[in-house]
Formats: sequence, structure tokens, C-alpha cells
Amino acid sequence: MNMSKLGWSLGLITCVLALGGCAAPASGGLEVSAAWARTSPTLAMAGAVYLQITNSGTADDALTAVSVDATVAARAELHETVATGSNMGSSPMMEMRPVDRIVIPHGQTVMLQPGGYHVMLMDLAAPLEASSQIRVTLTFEHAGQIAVTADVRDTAP
Amino acid sequence: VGSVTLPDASNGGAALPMRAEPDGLLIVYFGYTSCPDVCPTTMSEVGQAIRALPTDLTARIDVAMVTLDPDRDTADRLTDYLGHFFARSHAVRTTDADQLDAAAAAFQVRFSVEEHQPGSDYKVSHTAVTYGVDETGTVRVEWPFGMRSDAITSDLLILLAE
Repeated sequence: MNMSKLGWSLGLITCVLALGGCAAPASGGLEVSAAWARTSPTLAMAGAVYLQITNSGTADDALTAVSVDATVAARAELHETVATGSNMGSSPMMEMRPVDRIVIPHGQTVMLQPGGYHVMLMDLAAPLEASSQIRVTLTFEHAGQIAVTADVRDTAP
Repeated sequence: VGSVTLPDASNGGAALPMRAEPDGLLIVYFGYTSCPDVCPTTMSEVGQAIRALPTDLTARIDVAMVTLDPDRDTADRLTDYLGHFFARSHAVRTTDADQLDAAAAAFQVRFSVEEHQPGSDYKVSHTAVTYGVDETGTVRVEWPFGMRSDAITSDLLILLAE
């Protein structure tokens, strides 16, 4: 995964917010990085945010909730796109499901990416425009809240 | 699929045959605009793939998206949605469920609209294959969900060189 300059700066920001300083990764050592959201068509009601979460701590954690400011969208939910019913060589149906929690095992990185887990933004307050940024707050079982800034872009990084 | 025609909502509802112009390629996708992940991902990759082509080849490609959710996808919404990804495109929308079912079956598209109360949010599960149809109405290529734009571009170069 390309750890862009932005990814680093986001990582540092989240580190500061989550732990009140980067020196003591006692609350689990979660790092959220590479957050981005896809631009949305003018009349679209839904959007998606993608990011990655690295757990360098010694215990598992879980992402349990997500929220955005009402100026971005009325609601945000954790969703998963699942491919189902691809038996006998037929193409799978892509189905979207809300998820209650996403486990972040210790020592691993979990990706929220197209075709998998994502943060779904519902009832967008305004179109998501390229080069803007949105703030997303993630709630973890153990690490508590971590706020990240997602870059809005037309294409996947 | 060349015998299938569907209303082109971005062209006043004129019948759009599911086959390409002579020497061209018609790219067809079935989806819906309230889909936040799979559909915009696919449209974005296809749009990038087309923009990566030389302009003389771009001119030979048409894109049509058929909505599986005509209740919420008005002609305006679908046209706006496609305009976000493509310079030129066809917003295909029929409110005749039998016509939509027949068109989907011709492409072997499967879909299912989640049961919902009127006015409440709902999802549509669907196969997410993008089809490339030639001037005879033959599907020449199927891109499964998850194809990146550079792979689509190289397929387009091969098909348009024929």
C-alpha cells in the first residue's frame, strides 16, 4: 500500500487524537490512514469513504460505529459489499449489508476498500467535490473515537 | 442482445438498441444510482479507461447504464449521474418491469430489489458485470466487478483494432 505523504500526516493526526501523543501506544496502537471518499454526482444521495486501519497493539479491537457531521450527510453506516451466488460459473450478485462491527486483529491491517467494507454516507447534504475534505469519526471498542480526514477524489488512489 | 431495445431517457426516451454503431463498441452496465460502492467504482474505472484512449477511438465508444431502480432513478438523476463519469452516455430507464426483466435476462443480469415500505431506503442486489457489445449486438467482452481501468483500456484497444 502506498504510504503517501498524506497517509503519513493523517496517521500522525489520528495518533495524536487517539492517544493524546504518539509516544505511548497503550490504548491499542490503532492507526487509520489513506482515507478517501469518492466524488458524488450532483443529485446522488449516497457516498462512500474508504480507509485502512492498522492495529500495531497487542490486543484485537473492533470498529463499531462511524459518524459524520450533518453538513456532510444525514447518516453514516458501516457497510460491506458481499459477492453472493456465483455458483455454476455465473457472475456473483453484489449485495450490500450493514455491519455491526469490523474486527481489527492485532498485528494486522484491515482495508475498507471498493467492493468490501466501506463507510456509507446516506442522504448527502451536498455533493462530495474533488479536492475537498471531509471529517469522519470512527468509534472503536477499545481505542474509543478516532477522527480522520478523508480526501475527496474522482478516482481510487 | 442486439434485438433488445430500451428507452434512452437522456434522449427523450428514444429507443436505444443494445448494439454498437458501425465500427463502434457499446458499453452496457446495469446498476442504480443509490449504490455507493460497486456502481460508482465500476463507472469510475470505465470512465478512466475510455479517457485513456486516443480521441479517435473514444469517439467510437458509447456507454449505456440501465437503471435497475427506475422508481428512484428519475431520468434527470440518472443522466446527472452518468454525466459525472462520462462525456457522452445514455441513461437507460424503463418503468415497464417486464421490459427490464427481459433486457436483464438477455444479458444474464440478475438483480433483486430489497422489500421496502414506500418512501424508505432500500438496496438493490445485482450482478455487476460491464458488457462490451459490438455492432451486431454480440457481447464481445465481459468485465467483472473489480477490473481496473488499465485492463479495460487494453481490452478496448484490442476490440477497436479489429
